[in-house]
Amino acid sequence: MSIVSDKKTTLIRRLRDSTAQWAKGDGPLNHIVVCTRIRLARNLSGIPFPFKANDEQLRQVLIRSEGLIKNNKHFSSFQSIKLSDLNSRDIQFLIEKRLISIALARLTHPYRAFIYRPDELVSVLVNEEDHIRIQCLLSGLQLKKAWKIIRGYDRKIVREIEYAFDEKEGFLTSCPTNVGTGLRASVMLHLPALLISNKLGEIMSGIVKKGYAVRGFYGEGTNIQGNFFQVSNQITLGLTEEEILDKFEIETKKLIIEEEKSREELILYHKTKIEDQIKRAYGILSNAKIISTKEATELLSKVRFGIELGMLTKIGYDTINRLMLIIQPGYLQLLKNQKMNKDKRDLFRAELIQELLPS
Amino acid sequence: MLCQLCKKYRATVRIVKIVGDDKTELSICSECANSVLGNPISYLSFNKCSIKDVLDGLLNTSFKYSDGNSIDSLSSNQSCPNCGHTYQEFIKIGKLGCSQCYECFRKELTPILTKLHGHSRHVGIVPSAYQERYSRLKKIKEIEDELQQAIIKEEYERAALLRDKIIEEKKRVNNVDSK
Repeated sequence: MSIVSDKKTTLIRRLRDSTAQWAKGDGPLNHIVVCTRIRLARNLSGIPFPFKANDEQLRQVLIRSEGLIKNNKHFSSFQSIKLSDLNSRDIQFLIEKRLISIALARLTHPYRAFIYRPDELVSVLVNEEDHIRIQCLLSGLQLKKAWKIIRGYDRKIVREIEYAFDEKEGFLTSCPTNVGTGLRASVMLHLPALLISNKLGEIMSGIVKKGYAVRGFYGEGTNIQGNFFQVSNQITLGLTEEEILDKFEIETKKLIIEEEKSREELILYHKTKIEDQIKRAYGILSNAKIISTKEATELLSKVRFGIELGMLTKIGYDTINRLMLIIQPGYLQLLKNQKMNKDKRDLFRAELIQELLPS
Repeated sequence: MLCQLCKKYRATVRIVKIVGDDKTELSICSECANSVLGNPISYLSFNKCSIKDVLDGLLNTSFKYSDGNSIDSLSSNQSCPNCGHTYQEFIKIGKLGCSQCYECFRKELTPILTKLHGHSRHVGIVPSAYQERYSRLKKIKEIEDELQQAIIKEEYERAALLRDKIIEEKKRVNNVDSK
C-alpha cells in the first residue's frame, strides 16, 4: 500500500469512528433543532470560477487552499483529503456524514478536496461550485456561535488568499444566488408534531414566502424523511451577515414555538396514542431482523420524538444522531469494510441498530 | 424537456401544487415522480424562487432596467472579455464564469439580483484590503475632479501638483492590490 493511500485509509477510518460535535446533540433547543450549519462561499481573485477554470487554475486553487495548513498556524491541525484519492464508497460515506456536498461528489475533475478540523467543527470544500466553501456545524440552535467561529477562520484565510470581491456585489460567487455575503445558514429541525397536526404545509409555505428554503435531511435535492426539515436563508445580498442571521433566528424560533404548541396539544389529547407509536417504533428497531434505510429513519424519528417528549429516557440524542448516520448505505459498508447488496445491508443495519440501542 | 429533478430522463409528469394563491409547477420523469409522490411532503412543494425560476422567467418575460427600457435577454450576445462566458450561457446554466462577468453583465444582472434577493447592493463585510483600496479610489476620484476644475480655470501649477498626487495615490492602490 502506498503512503498516500495508507494515510487516506487512516483518515477515513478516524472519520468513520469519530463523532462530530453537532452529532453529540447537546446544543441549545436540541429538543427540536438537531444542528446549525453556516457556510461561506468564497472565490480567489483573478481565477475563473471552478466550472470555467482550466486544470492548471483548479490546481492552483487546490495548492493555495492546502497551503493554508502549512502556512497558517490556525489551520495546522487541519487535514486534507483529495476526492480523487477516494473510492466511490468513501465519497458516499463523506456525503452521508455531512462532511462534503453531493455537488462536490458529482464533479469529476481531480482537484476537488475537503480540508477539515479533526473535530469536524469546521471544514473547507475546495473547487466545488465556488473555489472555497467554508462550513461550520454545531449542535442545536447556535447561529451566533457558528458565525463567530466561521468568521474567525474567514479572517485568517483572507490574510493568505485574496478573495474575489466587488464593492457593489460583495463576495463574488459563481451562482448569483450566493453573491454578496456568500452566507448560507441552515438549521435542521425535527417537526413531527406539526406534521401529525397537519399544520406543516401552511407554516412552511409562509417560511418560503419570507425568503427561506425548505429541504430534506441531506440538503439540496433530497426528499424529506423522518420529519427532518432543513431550513435555510435564500437572501445573501443587501443585508449584513448579522441581519441575515438575526432574521433567520427569529423565524427559526417561531417554528420552534409552533412545534412546541402542537406537541402540547398532542400530549393533551392523544398522549397514549403517541406513546404507543413511539414505543412500538422502539420495539421494531430493537427486534427487527431486516430493515431498510427509509423504515429505520422513520422509526428513529419516532424514537427521537420519544426522547424529546421525555417518554424514553434510556437513550440520548447522541445515540440517535449516530444511528441516523450509520444506517445509510455508504456508512454501513464502510463499517463492515465490504461491498454489500441491499439485502445484506438491510440485515446488517438491523444488527447495528440493536447493538447501539439500549435494551 | 428534461426532468427538472434528475436532469437525466425526459419529463413525462407535470406536478402542479397550489397553496393559497401560490402555484408551483414541476416537470419530472416517471422515476422521480414515484419518489416525490410517495413522499407525503416533498421539498418541491415549498421552494419556488430558485435561480432557474428567475432565469426561466427571464426567457418568457422581459425585465426592465431602472430607466424603463426592457432587456431583450435572448438577443444579448455579449461575452465576458476575461473568461469568454456569454450572457446566453449564463441564462442557460445560471452560473457566471468569473468575477469580471459581474462587471460585464452588470446591467442585465442588476434586475436579476433584485428579483432573487430583493436588493442589488452588498452591505455586509468588506475584506480589509478592499476597505483601504476603496477609500484610496474614492480619494483619487475626488482629486481627478479637482484636477478638471483646475484645468478649466487654467490653474496649471495647481493642476501639475494634483496630477502628481494622483500618480502617488495610484501607486498606493497598486501596493494594496499586490498585498
